[in-house]
Amino acid sequence: MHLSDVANIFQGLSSFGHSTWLMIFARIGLIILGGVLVYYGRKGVLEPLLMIPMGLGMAMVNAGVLFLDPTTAAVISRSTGEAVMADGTIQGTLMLAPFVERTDDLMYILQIDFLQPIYTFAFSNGLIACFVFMGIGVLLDVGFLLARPFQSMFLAMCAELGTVATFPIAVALGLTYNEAASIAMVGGADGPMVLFTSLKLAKHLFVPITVVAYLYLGLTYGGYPYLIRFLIPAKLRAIRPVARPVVKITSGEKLAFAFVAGTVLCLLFPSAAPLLLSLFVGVAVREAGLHYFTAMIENTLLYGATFFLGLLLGVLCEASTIFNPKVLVLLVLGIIALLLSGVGGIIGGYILYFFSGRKVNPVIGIAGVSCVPSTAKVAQKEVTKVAPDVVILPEALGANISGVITSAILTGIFVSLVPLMQ
Amino acid sequence: MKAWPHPLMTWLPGPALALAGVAVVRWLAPVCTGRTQAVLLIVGYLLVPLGLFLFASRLGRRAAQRAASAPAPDPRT
Repeated sequence: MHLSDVANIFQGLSSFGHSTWLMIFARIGLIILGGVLVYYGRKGVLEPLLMIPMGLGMAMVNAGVLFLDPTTAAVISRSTGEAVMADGTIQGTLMLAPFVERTDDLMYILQIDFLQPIYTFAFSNGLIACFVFMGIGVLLDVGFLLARPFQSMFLAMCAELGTVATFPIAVALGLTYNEAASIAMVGGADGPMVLFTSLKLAKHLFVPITVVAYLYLGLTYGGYPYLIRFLIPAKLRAIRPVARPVVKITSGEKLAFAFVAGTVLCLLFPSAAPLLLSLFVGVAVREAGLHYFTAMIENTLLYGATFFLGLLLGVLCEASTIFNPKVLVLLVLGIIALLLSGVGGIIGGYILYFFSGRKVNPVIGIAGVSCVPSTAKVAQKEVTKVAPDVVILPEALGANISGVITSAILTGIFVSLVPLMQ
Repeated sequence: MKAWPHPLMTWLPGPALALAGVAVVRWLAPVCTGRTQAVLLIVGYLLVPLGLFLFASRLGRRAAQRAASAPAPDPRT
């Protein structure tokens, strides 16, 4: 038996051999990266709920490349412009064809690729991002924000430094306005919003942008503690917040805030209305005491959406889909955006520290970055390390929740105004 | 703590300010041109978060007022 016959038995190996060297190395690299994500997800360094399905999807989609039959190859080729081989076949997978858009082609692919129905009906229209946002809404207690509105909103605005500053940097690096706005949203540190913005503004780049965003968001948990330790001396990290009487916000007041904020923001940004509705309906369901809905959204919807989000993001990391000449720029801009947002939040913390007569702990500033509730937990963890009896979590959560709303406003601004700048 | 003149003063000013911002952005600015339009857009986009902030702070102060006027717990219990 000849070696090529063995390769033909294992089609995955054979299709590896028919690719360019660059693509072979890219696939091997992505399989290894998938393994790394699973490993660090299991260890708890990265967010396991997202990283384990994503890592597995990433590894297996790159291993499972095969030669598609001529009919399927023609459909894929028509959508992507990729040339078919001499025998009419083309390399692809049986998992997902992200760029097929013509209705008849889509109907054909829906019957072949097993994840295509979820991708077409829940991912490519932003529904999955909205499901995750509903879940976030149910988890948010806006009472923390309403108890300290100025402090929370001020810190959240400062922590959007990365989103605002990365936009002109991205334009200067050669990205279009739409692409720049999409990658700048990584500074908001909110995965669903990055997904939503990139789907609306730069659909051709939404796969690499969303993957970059989720990879980096996983890293905030590991990276921001170093930023806090680097920028805030231990003496300031140990500042105890001034004791105030406990302010109890009623569920009626929280519901009123959700209603007013949601309605006004939808009036202002109709393009981001699905995301805003999802967030505030989650808050409203929680505060109205609809326990069955709360349990359904918090458990079934949020976990179901997160699982399929992770799996689809992994499967979308097939080498030929993700490797775009702009990926390197996106990787650099993503880290700049998150770094600047963290620094902006800490600057906000310092401003409050000085203006309050050195009574506010500046670490709270990092919680303005809206990665709920990771950044608030990171802030509390760093404070606990130097002063175990100091609790800043309620104040940090206020800034954190305000950060989600500020990020939603910035998504609205980008989605509504950036297309007008062309 | 100073009492509010009327309960509506908690609920109305913030949403009214935010809605004024929406009106400026979506009705007034489109009929203007050039620098006037740019100024109106900036003013409108600032009024909305300002209105939401005002609403949030009034709700917060209302809750604080309620907490301050609540009877102190009986030390014997």
